[in-house]
Amino acid sequence: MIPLQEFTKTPKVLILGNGLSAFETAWQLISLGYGVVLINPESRIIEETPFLSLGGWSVQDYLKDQRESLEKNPNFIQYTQTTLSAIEGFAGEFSAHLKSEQKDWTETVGAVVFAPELVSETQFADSHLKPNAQIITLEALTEIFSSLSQSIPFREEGVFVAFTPHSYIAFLSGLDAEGNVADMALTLSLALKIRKEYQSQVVIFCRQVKVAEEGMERLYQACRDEGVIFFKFDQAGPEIIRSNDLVTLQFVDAILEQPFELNPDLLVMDSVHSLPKEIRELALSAQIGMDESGFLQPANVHLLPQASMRTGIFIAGSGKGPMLPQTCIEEARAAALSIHHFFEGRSAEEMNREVVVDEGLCTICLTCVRYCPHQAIGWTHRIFIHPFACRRCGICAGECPMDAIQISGYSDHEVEKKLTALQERRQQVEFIQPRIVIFGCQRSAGVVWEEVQSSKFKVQMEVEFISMPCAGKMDPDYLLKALALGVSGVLVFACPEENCKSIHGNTYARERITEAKRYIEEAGLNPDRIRFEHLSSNMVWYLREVVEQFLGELKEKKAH
Amino acid sequence: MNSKNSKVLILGGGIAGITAALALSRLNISVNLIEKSSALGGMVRYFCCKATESCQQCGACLLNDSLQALAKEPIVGVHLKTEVTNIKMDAKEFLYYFSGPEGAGEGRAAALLLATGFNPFRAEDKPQYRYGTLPNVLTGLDLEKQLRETGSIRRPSNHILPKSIAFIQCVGSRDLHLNHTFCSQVCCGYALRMANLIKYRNPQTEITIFYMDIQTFGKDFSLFMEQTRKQIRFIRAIPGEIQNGENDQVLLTFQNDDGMPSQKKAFDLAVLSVGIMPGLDHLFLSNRLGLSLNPDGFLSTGQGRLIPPEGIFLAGTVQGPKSIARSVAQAYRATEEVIAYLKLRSVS
Repeated sequence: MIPLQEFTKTPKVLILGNGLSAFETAWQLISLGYGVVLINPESRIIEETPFLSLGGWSVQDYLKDQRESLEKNPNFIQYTQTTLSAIEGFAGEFSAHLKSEQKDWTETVGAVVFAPELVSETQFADSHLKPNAQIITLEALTEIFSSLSQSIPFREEGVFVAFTPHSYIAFLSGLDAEGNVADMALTLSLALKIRKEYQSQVVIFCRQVKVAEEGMERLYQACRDEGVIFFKFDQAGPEIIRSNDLVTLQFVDAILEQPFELNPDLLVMDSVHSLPKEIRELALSAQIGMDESGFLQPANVHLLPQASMRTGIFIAGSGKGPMLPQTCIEEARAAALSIHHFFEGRSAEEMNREVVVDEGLCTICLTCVRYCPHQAIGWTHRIFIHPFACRRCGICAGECPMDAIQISGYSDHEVEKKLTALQERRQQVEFIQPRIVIFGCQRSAGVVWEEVQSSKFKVQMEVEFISMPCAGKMDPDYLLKALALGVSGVLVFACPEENCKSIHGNTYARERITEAKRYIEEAGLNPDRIRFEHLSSNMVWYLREVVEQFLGELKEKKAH
Repeated sequence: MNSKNSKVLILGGGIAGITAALALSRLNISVNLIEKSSALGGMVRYFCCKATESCQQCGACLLNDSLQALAKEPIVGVHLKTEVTNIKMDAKEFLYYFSGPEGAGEGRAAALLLATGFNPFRAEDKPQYRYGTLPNVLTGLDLEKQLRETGSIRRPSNHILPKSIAFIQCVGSRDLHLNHTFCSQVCCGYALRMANLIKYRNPQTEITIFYMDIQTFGKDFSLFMEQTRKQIRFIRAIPGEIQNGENDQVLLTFQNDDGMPSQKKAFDLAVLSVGIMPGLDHLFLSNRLGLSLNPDGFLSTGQGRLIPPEGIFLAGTVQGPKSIARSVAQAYRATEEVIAYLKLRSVS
C-alpha cells in the first residue's frame, strides 16, 4: 500500500476561460478560501451579451466590478495569452502544463475548471453572402451597439443607413441549426431597441421563437407590441439573393400562402457556435468527455450539474452550449460548490480502505488503467488506485483478468458467500419453482428492488438480489458460480444506455454477459438461462414484468 | 412544544430541496427539511423513466438516487406532513413555528432555503379542452404517472392502446388570455420524450404534436430533433377546442398554417401539455418574509438576480419554471450561496 500522506489536495484551482463563467467561478472560489490561477488564451476579456434587458442588470458592469476586486486579491493570479497544453496526474494534485509566448511551466493544482467562451462562425457559407454593409452577423451588430455608450448617431453610411424610420432590418435566426435561447435573447433585445429608438421596420425570420428562459416570453411580446414582425418558417428558410447592392429575401408566407420579397437595408444573421479548437483538443486528450455535438460534458444526467468524466475536473458555463449570462452565473456557483465538495469530501483513509489491489496477483497488465472511466488508476512499479479520483464503480475489478482488485462490500469473496448462502437456504426449503438470482447496479436496480420488497406486491420468494456498485463490476464468474449452485436463471440489470454513473459500466457489463452466454452455450448449457436487461431507478413495473416473464420461461423449460 | 434548531432550514422536499440538503450535509452543515406532504420527492416522484434504446436525459431517475443518499444522512432532519405556520427574523436568525404529526414546535436557523416548488396548471381552467369531461383527454402529468406505473398508455374509455395520440403544447403557458406571459420551459421536453417513448414501445401508434414553437432542451438537441421528426408529426397550430368524436375519440379543431380554413381531426387520445405555475405557498412566504413576486407570480429575491437578501435563498421551481437538470443546478447554486453567507456571518 502506498502511504496515505503521499496523496494530497492542493487547495488551488486552475480555471480556463476569459468570460463571465470563468470570472464568476474564480470569484466564488476565492470567497470560499481557495487559491485561483486563471488562464486566458487571449489578452482581453470576453464580455458576453451586453445590454440584455432580462434581469435589469448589466453583465458588463458586474464583470468589471468582479475583475477589479479579483485583481486586488492576493489569492488570485491571472495569466493572459496563456494556454494549457496538458493535464497530468490525479485529482487533488494535477500537474498543469502551461504555455505562454515567453515560457513553459507547470502549476500544481487540486482541481481544474473548464469555463471557456464559445467561438462564433458566420453562416455566410455561400461566397456571394460575404458580410458587408448590408449583411452583418448578430455578434457584429451587438458589438456596434455595445461599443457606443449612447445611441447610434445618424450617419449616411454603412450599416447606419438602416437606422431610420423607413428602412428595413431583417434578422435571420436559427437558419442552419435549431437555434438557441441565447441568440434569440440577443435578437429580440436588439430588435426591440432598434424599433424603439430608430423606428426602423424590423422583421425576424426564424424556425422557432426560443423563449424557454425567465423573461423571454415577455421580451417576445414586447417586440410584437412594438411592431416587430415575425415570420416563422418550417424547413426551408427564405432564399437570399444578392445582386449589385441589393439583398433580396424570397419567402412564402405560410398563412397567406403567397410568395413575398423583401429588400432589407440590413440583414442580420446569427452564427454557429462551437468550442475553441484548443479546448476541444484538450478535452479529448484529458478525457473529460464531450457530447455528440462537440460541447463539453457528455450527455449523461449523472454528471449534472458540473462534473466531467474525470474526477477533479469540472465544467462551468457556455462550453456546454450557448447560454444566457444568468445561466453562466448559476453554472459558475454550482461549479464552485462541486469543487468545495471535492476538497472537503471524505478523507483518503476512508477511501483507501474500500479498494484494494492485491500486489501478489497483479501482473501490471494495465487493463484496469485502460478501462477506468475516471482516470483514477496509475502505475509505477505497481498499480495504485488514486483515493480521490476513484468513484468506486468497480469496473477495474470486473475487468481485471487476475481478480487482483477487490472493493469492500462487493469483493469476489463476499459475492460468493452470498451465493453459497442461497444454496444453504435452498437445502433447508424445498422449492418447487425455479429460482432466479438478480445481479444489479445498486443505484438503479438496487433502488427498484428495495421498493419492490417494501411494497405489498413482493416479487416471489424464489428470487434473490445481489447488489453491485455498478453493473460494470459484474464478473462473468458469478454467473457460472450461480448456475453451478443450481440456480435456474440469472438476470443482470444495468442502467439504460448513456445513463451509467460510471459512463461505460453498463456497456462493459453487456459485452461481458454476451460473451459469457457464448461460453455457456459452448459448454452445452442453455444460454437463455442468463438474461441482460436495462433498468433505471424508477422502473418498478419493468423489473416485475421481466422477472415474471423470465420465471415463466424457465418453468416452461423445466416442464419440457 | 418541541424545538428544532439547525444551521439551515429548507422548506420543500422536492428534487431541489433534497439536492440542497444533501449538498449541505456533505459539508457537515446541519439541516432541517420540512415537507408538507407525506413523502419526499415532490413532483418528480410521479415522473417516468423515458429511456428508449438509450437514455433521453430527462433526469427523473436522479430523484431516486438522491433519496437513497438522503436516507443515509444523519445530520438532515426530515419532517414530513409538517407545515410552517409562521416565520420571522429574530436576533439575526429565522425563528419559525411549525405543526406536524408530533404536534406544534418551533425552531431556529441561520439561513433559509426555499424550495417549495410549483403547481401544475389546472387543465380545467382551459374549459375548451374539456379535461375531466371527456374521458380520453389527459394531461402530461397523467401520462407521466401512467407510464411510471405501468410502462404503457391506455385510453381511459376502454383500456386499450390508443392508435393515435395528439399532444397539445402550451396549455396554460404563453397564454395572453390567461395573462401568463411566460414559457413553462419543460413541456416541449417531456412531451417529445414521452412521444418518443410511446413510439418505442408501440411503434404503430401515430403521434402528432400541436405546437407554437419547439423550445431547446437537453444536450445534443439538434440530433434529438432530427430523430424525433422522423417518427412524430408536427403541426404548428394550437387547437381551439376539443369535442367528442365517434367511439370516444377526441375531435380537435385547429387552424393550420397551410392557409386552409379551420380543420377538424380525430384522435384516440389527447394529451394536454400543462405547464408550471406558481406554488400555493408563494403568497404566504412573500408576505412573511418580505419577498417580492416576479411578474409571472413566482418568488423573487427582489434585488436583481445576483445578491440574495440576507439569509434567504431560492432553489428550483419556486422562482420560475425549470427542468430537473436546471433545478439541480439551481440547488447547487443556492447551496453555494448559503455557504458563502454562513462563512461571511461567522467572520463578522
